[in-house]
Amino acid sequence: MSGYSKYVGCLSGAMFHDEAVIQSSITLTHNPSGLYGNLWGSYSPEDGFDSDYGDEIDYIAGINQDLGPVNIDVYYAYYNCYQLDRHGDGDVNAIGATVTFPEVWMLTPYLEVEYDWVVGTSEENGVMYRLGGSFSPIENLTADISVGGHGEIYGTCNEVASFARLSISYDLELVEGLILTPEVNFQKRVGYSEDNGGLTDDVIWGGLTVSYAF
Amino acid sequence: MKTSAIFLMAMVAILSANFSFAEDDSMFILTLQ
Repeated sequence: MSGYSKYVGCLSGAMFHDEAVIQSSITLTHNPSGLYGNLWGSYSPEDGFDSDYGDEIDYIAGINQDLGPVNIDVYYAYYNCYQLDRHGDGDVNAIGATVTFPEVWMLTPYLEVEYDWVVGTSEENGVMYRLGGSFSPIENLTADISVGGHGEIYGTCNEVASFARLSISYDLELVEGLILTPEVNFQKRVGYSEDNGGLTDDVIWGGLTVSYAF
Repeated sequence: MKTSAIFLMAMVAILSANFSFAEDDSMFILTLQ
């Protein structure tokens, strides 16, 4: 389970909610086919459940496989956005893929691409992508740099590069198996401003994930 | 309300941790995060 100071779309870079959120997911993966189903939830405690765009439930099905040295994840997702009790208009269907390449000089590059089509408002359909790489300069510390862009999606202009982001996280093992991971994200808008058709903005947000493995 | 109930049940089940468990020969891997 994770807590974040803001809800910023990982792929889009868009700010969905400007207050704290709690997010968690459940994934069931079949081995060795790599087929999986995932239920992902976001909850903003500020005004209660199903009160704003910090509240969201996603249903995802996909397949994750290694093809030679490359890992490929292909998925379909249904994003049930606020209002959660109303399925249909405003919700989002998505198909996407993440390709993770072999490590090069301590850097593990990846490319994420997703096409969204919005129920009831086809003019907001479009593609988003993010190209990045993660590296661990010292043990337990992970730094991730990425650049994201998109087509004409959600009523915005096409931005080849919309944002650049640096994320830093550190794994603290409190007791055996129990890991606390604080993170901080710095995002810089490199495309249009939101007033001029851009999708993203400058934002700094933090997160804290508690994990337990056994 | 059905959707809300599913979500709340999931949140409660997850408690304050994310964890995964699997054995080498298992057919399914459950990951909670």
